Amino acid sequence: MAQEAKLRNIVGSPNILDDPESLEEYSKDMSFVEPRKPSYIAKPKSSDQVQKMVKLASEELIPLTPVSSPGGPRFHGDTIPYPGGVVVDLSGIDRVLRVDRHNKTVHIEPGVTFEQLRSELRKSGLKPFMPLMPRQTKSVLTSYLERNPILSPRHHWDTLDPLYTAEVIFGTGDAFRTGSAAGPGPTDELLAAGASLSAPMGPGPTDYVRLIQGAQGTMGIVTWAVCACCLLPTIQHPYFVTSAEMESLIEFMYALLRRRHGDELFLVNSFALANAIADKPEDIKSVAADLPPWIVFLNIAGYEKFPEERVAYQEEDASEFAKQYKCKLLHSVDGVSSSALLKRLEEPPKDVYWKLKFKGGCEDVFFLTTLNKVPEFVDYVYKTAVAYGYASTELGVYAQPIVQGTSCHLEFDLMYNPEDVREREKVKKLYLHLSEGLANLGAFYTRPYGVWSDIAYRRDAETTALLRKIKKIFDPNDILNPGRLCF
Amino acid sequence: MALSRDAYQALEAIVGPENISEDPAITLGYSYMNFVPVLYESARLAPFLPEAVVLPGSTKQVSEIVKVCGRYKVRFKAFSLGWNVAATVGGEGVILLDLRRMDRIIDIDDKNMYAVVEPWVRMAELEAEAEKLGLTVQVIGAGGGCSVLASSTSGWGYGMKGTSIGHNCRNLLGVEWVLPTGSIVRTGSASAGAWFTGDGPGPSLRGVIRGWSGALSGHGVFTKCASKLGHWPGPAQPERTGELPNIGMNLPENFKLYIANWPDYDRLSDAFYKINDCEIGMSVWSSSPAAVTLFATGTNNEILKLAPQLPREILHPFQLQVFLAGNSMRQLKYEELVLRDVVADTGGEFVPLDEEPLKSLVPIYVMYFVLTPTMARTFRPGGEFGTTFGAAESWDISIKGAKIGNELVKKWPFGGIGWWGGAYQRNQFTHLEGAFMYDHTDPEQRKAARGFSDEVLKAVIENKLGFPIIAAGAATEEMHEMLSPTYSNYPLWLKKIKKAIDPDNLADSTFYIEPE
Repeated sequence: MAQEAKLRNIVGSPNILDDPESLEEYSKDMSFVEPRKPSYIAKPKSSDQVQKMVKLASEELIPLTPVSSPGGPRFHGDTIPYPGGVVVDLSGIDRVLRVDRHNKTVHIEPGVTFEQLRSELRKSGLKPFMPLMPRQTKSVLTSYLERNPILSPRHHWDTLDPLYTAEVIFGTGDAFRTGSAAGPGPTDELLAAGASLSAPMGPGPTDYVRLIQGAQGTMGIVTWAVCACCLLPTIQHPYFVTSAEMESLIEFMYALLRRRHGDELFLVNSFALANAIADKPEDIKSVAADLPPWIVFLNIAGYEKFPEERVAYQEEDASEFAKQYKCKLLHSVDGVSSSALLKRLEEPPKDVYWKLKFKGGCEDVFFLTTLNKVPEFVDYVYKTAVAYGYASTELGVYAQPIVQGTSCHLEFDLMYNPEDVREREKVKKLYLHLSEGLANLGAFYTRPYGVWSDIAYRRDAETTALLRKIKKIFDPNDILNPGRLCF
Repeated sequence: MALSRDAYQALEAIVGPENISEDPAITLGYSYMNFVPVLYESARLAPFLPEAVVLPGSTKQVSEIVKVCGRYKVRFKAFSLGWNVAATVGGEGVILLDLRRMDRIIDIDDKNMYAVVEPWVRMAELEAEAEKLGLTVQVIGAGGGCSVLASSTSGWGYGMKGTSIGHNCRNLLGVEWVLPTGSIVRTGSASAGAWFTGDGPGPSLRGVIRGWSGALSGHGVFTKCASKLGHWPGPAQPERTGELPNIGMNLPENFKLYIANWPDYDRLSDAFYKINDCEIGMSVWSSSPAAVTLFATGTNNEILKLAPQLPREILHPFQLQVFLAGNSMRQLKYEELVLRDVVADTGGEFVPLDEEPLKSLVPIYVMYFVLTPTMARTFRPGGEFGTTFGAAESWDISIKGAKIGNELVKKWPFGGIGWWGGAYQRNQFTHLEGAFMYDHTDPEQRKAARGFSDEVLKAVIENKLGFPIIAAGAATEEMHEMLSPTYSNYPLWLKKIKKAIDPDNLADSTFYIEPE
């Protein structure tokens, strides 16, 4: 039987797409990675179908590229398929399987979006851990698998968070459950016994979920996961914190991070904040011009017991730190309200994705560093941008402390008009220059998309060699998203 | 099976004659371990001695030693500060790399809250240095004498401050790792000389290094690691009370220990969930009533003398201990408000700690149990103890295990189980471990210890109580085989990983896994 017929047997004919429009749609994204068309797009509806597909692919050496979000725009090139391969679109596997208020966890399938999860969790007095204003179609599971940082560093204990455990179909076609979801026995029996499936480690001496996270679908395809949730706040006091010096704001953030104070906490420049808050593209530049150059967003929340008292003591502590580091705690800056931003963080606008609002296109450069190194990187990027004729006042900066402040996701957003060929080329050159230059300054590409994989792995031969050996175990025929990372 | 002269001389050439020995007077000391009776017939002495003990002084020397092992087909095992039988060699023909010369605290990054250490840095030593900078270590239950690196990279990591600082397997950041081939891997940002993360680029090798348990040197030697630290809101140099062996800590005004009792496990559990939902406390813990007497005294005679004076409330079976450490007095007051409300709401009652003899015991108990635990004191009553249950799972599962364990132990000659465990990361997961004490010099007691351990292992599987702690701590091939069918067949993958990392099977993997 031909491959196509076998695929149709597994997922059903209506769930195999090969029309030119669909192939075109899945062949590209907003990144500078060259488009490539798949042979088919398969839309499985269950874990069982995914497993059968992977087994077939392993036997017949069909490259598979998993995609979970039910729609674009996509950004990093990681879902652009291998030529002639099959896109496994998991967006139709989209149930919230179980909400556990007691243990503050949720059991979700790959196609669940943040909006869907938010409204489901709300019924149980919980909320999801949000990244910075994800697009409407963003899969929660993909976001967590790809180490997209969450806004609350206090709740981000470890790189894995908020991802706890998962079911994964390895490239061999074997299904495996990670951490405390592994056993003893089937998942429904574990849950019936009172398990939370919230311990990511193991089973035994290996942290299998760590081999799946950050792998861009090269190790296995995740069919469900158990993730952390947060109690729904009963009161929230959001603030903008401003200072004449970025360094003072960083010291203020360190003081909070050390004491695990505050909930949402991050640093942005005026242009990033303007893009996040302005309703119309034409307002962005004027909003940015009125704002201070650097702003920390701090939200202090109270939960079920003594919420006012909790907020009060943290506010008083935060005020003391603000005074110590010569910062101001404000409810609004130049007409922009901290409450308005908080609302957008909780319920991202349903219209255009915030990074595309200004010019229609955006290329990000992001990596890990530590908070105290942010000024050095910013200085380098601003100077380099200017040298390339890119206005530093039109460059978004977002610094998100992660792992409780042990490290920091630092992101530079290069907005451009994708229809303007010259502008696109200019930004592409700047992007490539920055990618290499930032690595030379110590930027660590923990999520190495596109050209960053070459930069990251070229500098670390031993890790690369070992990762290739591990990949051979879980995907011996190299069918899962081939050509990514160092594989 | 003696080491060949050629191999010995090659090792000697690396470390110098003063740093290698095969004298039984030396090697014997590395086989005198606890937990021996649960795995072997003997009382304390593991049945195998290292063929030689080698003391490397640097990562380069470790790499050279491992390469020599490859050349002469000699198996090796790394040893830092040791604690139980899984730390020593598991068979014949294995040399031991005692890493005691690699004992530097390389860096404490005050701002970004992590320390970079070599294998022989003890937890108490790092804690003393960290406190000066307003930081604190997740000192594990096994004690302040244990290795920070071993606890982070290779096994265990449970400790009283888990709810606020986390489990050490999750606190691990960058790692320097000598593979069994002699290659040196630096994980995450450590490859670029920074230690702030151990994950990436892409899939994380940290997943291979360490899971719930660790490889116990079964896939090479870790020579440096970074471990995440917590905030220490106490004085830079805490004021000590008393004299050895009963040194206490004079609690500053923003520190306070509370102990409360509930009528049953269910109401205790209710309180446990509520306290952790409110995210209060440096430590939220449950331990058996014997804990105070055991940890706040220096000798068994002291226990006997103290016991009649203790109020009945402190010996209650359904008890939580909450140690509050406010970053400010405002925070302490808030946390006290929450705690009092939860205790009242769930039918609990506080144990008065401001009257003698408990008043004098509190500073010692905080020092020896909460901040820098001294689990060595657990050996005192019987000379040995075994451990059971203790999976990383929900508190409901932990309590279910305690209920089952309390019934199972009745037919065994141990006088009950001593429970200790609590929350990690504000109750993301928990661990409640059941220790039983016994006389390791009595062959019948040793036999009973093995029998009880086996019975609990089966009960854990039958009742769906997570991954048993005994298999996490010192898994044998037999245990892996038993667990495999009900735990997603994990040993099949583990064997492949071992084979990929250690193709010649040179790293002693008696307590890890044999390759495919």
